[in-house]
Amino acid sequence: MSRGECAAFFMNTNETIQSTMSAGVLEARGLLKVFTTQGPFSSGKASLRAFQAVDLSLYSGRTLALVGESGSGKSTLARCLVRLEEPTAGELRIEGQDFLALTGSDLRRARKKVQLIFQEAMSALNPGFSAAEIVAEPLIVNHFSRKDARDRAATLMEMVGLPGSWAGRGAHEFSGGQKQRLALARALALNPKILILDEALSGLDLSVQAQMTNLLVDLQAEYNLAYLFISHDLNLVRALSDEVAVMKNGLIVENATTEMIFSRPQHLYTQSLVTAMHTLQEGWTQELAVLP
Amino acid sequence: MTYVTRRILHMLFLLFGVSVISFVFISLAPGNYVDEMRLNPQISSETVNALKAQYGLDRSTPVRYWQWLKSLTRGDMGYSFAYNQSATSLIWPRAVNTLLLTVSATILAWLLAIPIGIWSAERRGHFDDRIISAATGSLLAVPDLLVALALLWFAARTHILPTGGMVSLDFDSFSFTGKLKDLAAHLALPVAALALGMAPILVRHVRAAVTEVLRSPFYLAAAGHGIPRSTLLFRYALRAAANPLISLLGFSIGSLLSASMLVEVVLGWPGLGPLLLEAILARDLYVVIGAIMLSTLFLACGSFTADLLLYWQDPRIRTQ
Amino acid sequence: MEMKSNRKYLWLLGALAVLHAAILLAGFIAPYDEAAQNREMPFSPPMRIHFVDSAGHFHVRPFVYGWKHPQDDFTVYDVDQDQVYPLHFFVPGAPYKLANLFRTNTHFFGVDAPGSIFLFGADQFGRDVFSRTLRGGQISLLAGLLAAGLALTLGTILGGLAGYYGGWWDAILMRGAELFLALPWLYLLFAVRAFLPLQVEPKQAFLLLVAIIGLVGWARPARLIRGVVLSARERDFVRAARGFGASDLYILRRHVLPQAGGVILTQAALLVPQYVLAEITLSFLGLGVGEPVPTWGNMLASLMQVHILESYWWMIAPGVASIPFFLGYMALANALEKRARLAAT
Repeated sequence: MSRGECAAFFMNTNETIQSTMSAGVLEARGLLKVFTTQGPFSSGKASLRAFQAVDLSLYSGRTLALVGESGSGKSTLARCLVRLEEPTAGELRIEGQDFLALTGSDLRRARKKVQLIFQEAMSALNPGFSAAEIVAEPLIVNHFSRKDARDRAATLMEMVGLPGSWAGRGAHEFSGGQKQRLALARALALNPKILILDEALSGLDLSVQAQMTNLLVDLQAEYNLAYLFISHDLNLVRALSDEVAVMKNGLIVENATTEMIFSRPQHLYTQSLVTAMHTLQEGWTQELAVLP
Repeated sequence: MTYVTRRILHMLFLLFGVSVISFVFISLAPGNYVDEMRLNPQISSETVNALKAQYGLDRSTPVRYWQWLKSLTRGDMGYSFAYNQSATSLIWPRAVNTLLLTVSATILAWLLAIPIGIWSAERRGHFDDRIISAATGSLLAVPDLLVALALLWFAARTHILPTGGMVSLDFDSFSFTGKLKDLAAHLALPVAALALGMAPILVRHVRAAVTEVLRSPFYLAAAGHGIPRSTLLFRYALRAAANPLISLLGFSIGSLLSASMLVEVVLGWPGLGPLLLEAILARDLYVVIGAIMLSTLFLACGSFTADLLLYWQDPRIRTQ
Repeated sequence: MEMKSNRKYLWLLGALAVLHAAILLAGFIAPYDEAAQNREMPFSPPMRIHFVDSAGHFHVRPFVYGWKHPQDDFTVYDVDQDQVYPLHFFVPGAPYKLANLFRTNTHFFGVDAPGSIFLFGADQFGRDVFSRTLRGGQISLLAGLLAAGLALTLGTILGGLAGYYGGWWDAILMRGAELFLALPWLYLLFAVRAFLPLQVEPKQAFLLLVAIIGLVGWARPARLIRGVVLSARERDFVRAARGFGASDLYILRRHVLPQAGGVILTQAALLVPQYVLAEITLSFLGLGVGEPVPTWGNMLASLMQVHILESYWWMIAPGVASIPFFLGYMALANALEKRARLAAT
């Protein structure tokens, strides 16, 4: 059985997942983020609602995809979930703990559980660092000894398919795909429960994407990770995720299993997305048919 | 708020800030002119006390500042103890002299820099360009002080130009043209010193800005249309390069005023510089502040003018 | 291309190092103490070093001629070929502290008494201008270096804090910087100098000068550093570091400051000559370090009197001596900027 079929077996297609399954490793309720641009000496205020009324659940060993076009608020939501930005309102629980209320060393401890992987590997890694320094940084920051950190870094690199002997190489010597692997290794350093992948595969070649997808699936199975997979590429979404949430203009307009989303989309917006994807694919296959 | 209004408010804020800071600084200075007068046995202590009361030197700093601000609006900058006359009557003519010097030097420097810079940009990489670059580089390394001294030496040796002052002793007896010639002769050295100090940097910036334009597609297209070279250079290239150059004009006024102060002192031009120096040595409070405020005012007006020029020149700023 | 520019860069650094070494070893290279007067030779012109004597003989050991005054007129100097003073090297002379560290009295070269060797001539008190120029360079250069260090440190801290934390701090700091930059710098220096007592001991005057120039100069580097920090703060790897619990101090130290390093170095190369010039200007005008301590500035002060400028041209030596330093620092700043630009690509 495919993942989608498994999920469908367990639930009613017209109900959202949350109501029938037990609480997930990450639970978000009613998240709201409003930006007000008002600094001293600037003229006037302007407020921008990045997203509102966002309800999300992530479960160990399962992948929730977040789909939407650019500007729909996906990246801001991702940053809010790891508290790189503060949500204006709402509730966020990680393993049952109120994440938004934490401060200081409690926050630092809790942060280890959820890690974010950025789209641009280039900017997410300090070009002046070596591979080992990058991967070991979370450990160093959390007071591991230099030696332990370095050993663990080598192990982590092996885990993501990079030779441990490359640990001394400078970050700039790695290709785009390899850089994302480094970012992945770094994110895994603190044994997180949740990985948030913000368009992490978007800048990569198709073949590299395929490799990374396999790697992610393997890691998820082995470490029972929960993934939030943010993307605008529906093919990747279909391949990787169990459930899909569709976001438009800061609102989640539909949230269902992958199977449901792609075969019977309910919301107009979702329908247009899926149709576009199919049309594109048909067009390609038609093109391919024409070629000699 | 429009661009212009914002710039004016900004300027006022700056002047206000500077006035407060300099006033506080100077009034904290140990000893002022009146206290020094006390040391002079010929002046009775009653006179000293009367003077102190008259100019409010025995009141607190905020009160003095407020009084000074009020009198400023009437155009009165306070009293010069050292010269025994109103500070305004002392400062104002000197300020005019400084303006005369700096404006002339700026005009001369730009008149030199623009053609040389354009020529240099056109002949980029060639021998002529390299020589000009070497010359500007060397000139930049020579301190303004040395340039002024060198010019002074030259004047003293050759007796072609007078070595100090603004006018000759028998100025009043000259005809109108005679007066002009005399003034120009006295102006020549300080203007040369200032212009030589400014020119190298200007040449470099003009060269850089024009080079940018010469490489740009719109210029190459215009050249392709067969437009004559002088028109190309002056109507097209210079116009496009004007933006950074106008900004440079605004930024260079500060160092221009500083350089002019030094040149005035060394070459004996009666401007704000020597006055400020004497006032500091004599602890003449109001003259010091007056001179500083006026120089700041010049700087603010200068950069404001540059902003206006930019606004008028660059349509993109207007739409902001 | 990169190799060639690397070589030029190393040559430049080497040249600057030699210049600074000469100044550092001023006590050794200078034949005389800076305060040693010779009242019999006021305004002695520079002495030439000869290898061939009046009879046409070549000597391996160079020598100088003495002076004689025709008609007992102290103001006119004629070369006296009867007085021959050979140069000796590593001679004992007036005691001094080499590089301010240890005492010795060996000088690089000198002549036996009663001869004198004035390579750059002498001033109105018969003090050797060459020796004073070297010693003066120590004061002026040190003032420039210290003041630049002060301004950069202050500017980096304030600019870094403003750029990193933003908000009100940033606004206040930037308005403050604007105020400092609104005044022409020399006027600002004067204003601050006016606030302080006029008659000060040379040593205190030196410290005062360094403090004034450094404190006044924080604004420009602060703005630049703020910009660098602001853009570094927004980089994803800084966000990521925060994501695994890095403290602000760690982020500043490990990620932000290294990015600012290039800017700081270039600023240093630009500020040092500016501040040396500031010291020269202030001392020249009598507001800096005064007699009897020589600095390049106060040594030039006598030249304001036209008759001295005309008749005793060698007094301009300190000014001319500063030029290679300015050239060197300017070239260094250019080279550093080019390297920073290349590294960013």
